Amino acid sequence: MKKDNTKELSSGVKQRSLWQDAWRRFKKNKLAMVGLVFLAVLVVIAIGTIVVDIVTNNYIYENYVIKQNLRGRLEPPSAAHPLGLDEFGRDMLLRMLWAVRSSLFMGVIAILISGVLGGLLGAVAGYYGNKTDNIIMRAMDILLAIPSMLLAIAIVAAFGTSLVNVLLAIGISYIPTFARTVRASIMTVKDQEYVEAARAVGANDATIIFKYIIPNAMAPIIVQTTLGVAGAILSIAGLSFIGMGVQPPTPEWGSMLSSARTYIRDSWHITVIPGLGIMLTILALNVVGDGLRDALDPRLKN
Amino acid sequence: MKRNLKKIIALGLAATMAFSLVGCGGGGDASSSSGNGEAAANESSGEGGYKDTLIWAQGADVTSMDPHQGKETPSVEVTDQIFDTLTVVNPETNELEPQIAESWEQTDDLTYVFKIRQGIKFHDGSDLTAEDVKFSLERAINSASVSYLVDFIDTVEVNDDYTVTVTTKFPYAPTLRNLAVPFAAIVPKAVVEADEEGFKLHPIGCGPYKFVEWKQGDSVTLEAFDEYFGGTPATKNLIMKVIPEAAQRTIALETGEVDLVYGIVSNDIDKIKENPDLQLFEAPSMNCYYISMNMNHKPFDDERVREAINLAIDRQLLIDTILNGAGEVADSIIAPGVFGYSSPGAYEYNPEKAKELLAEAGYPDGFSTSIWVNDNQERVEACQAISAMLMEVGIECSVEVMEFGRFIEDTSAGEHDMGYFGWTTSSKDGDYTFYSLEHSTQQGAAGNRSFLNDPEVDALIDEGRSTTDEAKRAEIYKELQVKLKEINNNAPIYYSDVTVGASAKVEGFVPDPIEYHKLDKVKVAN
Repeated sequence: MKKDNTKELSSGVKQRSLWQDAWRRFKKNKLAMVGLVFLAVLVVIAIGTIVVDIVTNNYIYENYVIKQNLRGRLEPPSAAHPLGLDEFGRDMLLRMLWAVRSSLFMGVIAILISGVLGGLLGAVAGYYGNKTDNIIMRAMDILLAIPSMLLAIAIVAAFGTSLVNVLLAIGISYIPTFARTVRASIMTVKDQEYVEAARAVGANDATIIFKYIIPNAMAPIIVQTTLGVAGAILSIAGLSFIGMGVQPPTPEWGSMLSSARTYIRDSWHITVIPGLGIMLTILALNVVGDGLRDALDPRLKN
Repeated sequence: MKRNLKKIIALGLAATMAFSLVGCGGGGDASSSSGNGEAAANESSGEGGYKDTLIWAQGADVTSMDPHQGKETPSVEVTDQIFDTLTVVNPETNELEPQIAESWEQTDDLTYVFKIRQGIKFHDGSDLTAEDVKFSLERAINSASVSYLVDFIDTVEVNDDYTVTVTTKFPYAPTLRNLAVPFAAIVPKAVVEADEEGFKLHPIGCGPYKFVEWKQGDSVTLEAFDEYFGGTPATKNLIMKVIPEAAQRTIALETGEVDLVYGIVSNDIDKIKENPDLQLFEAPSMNCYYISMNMNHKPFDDERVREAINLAIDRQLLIDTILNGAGEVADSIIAPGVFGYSSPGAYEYNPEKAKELLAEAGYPDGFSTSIWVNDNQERVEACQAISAMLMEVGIECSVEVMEFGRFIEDTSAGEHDMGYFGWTTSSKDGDYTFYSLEHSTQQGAAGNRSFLNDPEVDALIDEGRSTTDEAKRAEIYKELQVKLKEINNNAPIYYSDVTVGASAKVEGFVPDPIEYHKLDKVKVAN
């Protein structure tokens, strides 16, 4: 990192870190900024609903989000209920808001699991090379040969439907992608002079990997994480859609979509709204991911 | 892409024009050849303006092709086309009619002599004889799934090739009606004995249709049996398609992909009624939807808990909303059209009392449990609504949705806490349901999935089945229903109507109140 800074200093006008520089370039990408703002709003909603639950001791959740009001079932959008009521007479707007947290946080947690495990395996494989590399990467290839959604379904089917299992299932299914990304970027930096220098002064392997290599190989990992979260959210929604993910009455976009599909011809709002929720979130994450990739790519520096 | 599409359209138009020109030139059959390609194709294979294939859709697949095993409605809807029974009940008149037995005589309280129709052939070409009847009834008696239907039979004796004497253990009033239920089917002895597993995969019966193919989870194909003793079936081929989603079934009917759809859900009924190309068949059903509480599992061994669950369910609300009003509140496990029905008084909706009972039973804060249901949207929604109602009294009840085959298997094994079932009284006699769902000897696959074991209930059921006097039987069943309501092992929810959607071109369809619709007289016009 230091090295990067000095380079920047010699060529640029002002001293900027890699991250400041990336941010400057990211800001120029209007689409990516819109995506980022959208994601920020989602995070605020997710945290906001959690705060509301804590403050009201789940009162809103129990009495409005999951409480059924069968007499008002399938009511179309109105002033009182801007997004209408679902097939059990629950307010769609509240359910949409309360569903954000499961999608967003579960997606992030699942990717953290795969990021840490996959990153570690990839780092070890990339740094040591040879036999270690071969053993780890062939194992990853085997995992990669199974489509991630299928693997997730198999894991949930075998161990039962629970929050932890769903997270583990999705986490495990994304490990190979991370392992490969990390391995590749580690291999590009491990022969750099500063790594040799560290080795020369007698730093041990762990220090070299964590202090010198990983920070410099971070860019592609960040991009991969953003895109991975998008994939994970989609997987969670998919699992919930087929009844293996988040269980009703807990609001979740995938399961909302699933139970609404019978009514698609009569009450479009209950299918379209969660569908849009999933679509926009995935789109935002992808746009942000693309923006990050461009911003962090040194070849696209201007 | 766009250009290609245009080309195709242009080609199609040109072809149509050419066809109609030829048609005009031909004169005579101008009207028939001016239609589109699809109609022309159908016509060439049909006869006299009728299609040669009837396709129907149902929500679940066959569980077993063995008629003495697969007694669930989705199975019988298929196997009833392949197998016949000694007697049969006319779905329109509800009268008993001869089928394999051409006549019968009751010589005393316990003895029935059946004359078997001569010249009936099984699909493999062999003759149906008295030996097959004896073998079939004995096989059914020994089957864990359907034994309850025929275990009133003591012995079956072969008098000669075409005469059978059935002796019952006690005077049993609904004998002839029980023998008309499709799972008292007559199967070929030689075939089953030679290769029982093979028979289950490729069933052979003497009914109007021969088995061709079963793609599990997808479809069953049947072909008309030309030597059927009741006359050659009206349509040559039958195809049953499994379409689990109710909305998809209705769409398949609207687009003409299928000709008949069983189990039209309430929110699609108006769509079919309003569509001039479709027709709706309705019949009052012999069906009751109910929750079975597994008395072997805690806390359902406590009567107060079971009563609390019954009190916590607002049945009318469920019918008004989830079912769009297409059902009636149930107060007994048998429907009002069934012999022996007597209301033990409506179930009260009283969540306050339910909470009190729970507190008395030692669950002031409720408990958590689960309700199992098969993957049928309407049933799942009903369970979710019920789960929310139980939540009101403090019971945290998750809804576990599973595929039909597994649902039947696991609930038969008694692994459930609560299960959501539909039960049809196939013989239209109360004994059929009381014996199978409430008698201690019928636990598990036979039907008693609350695992009720109550000597008093058993005694009443036994008395009811061995009495022939109708008035006396009605008295016994009245008492039994009051008793069952006190035990609360089941929570009857509602009685539903039989609803079948059909294309307007379908002719000769008669809805069966027990849902085992016969299709050998049904035709589909082109």
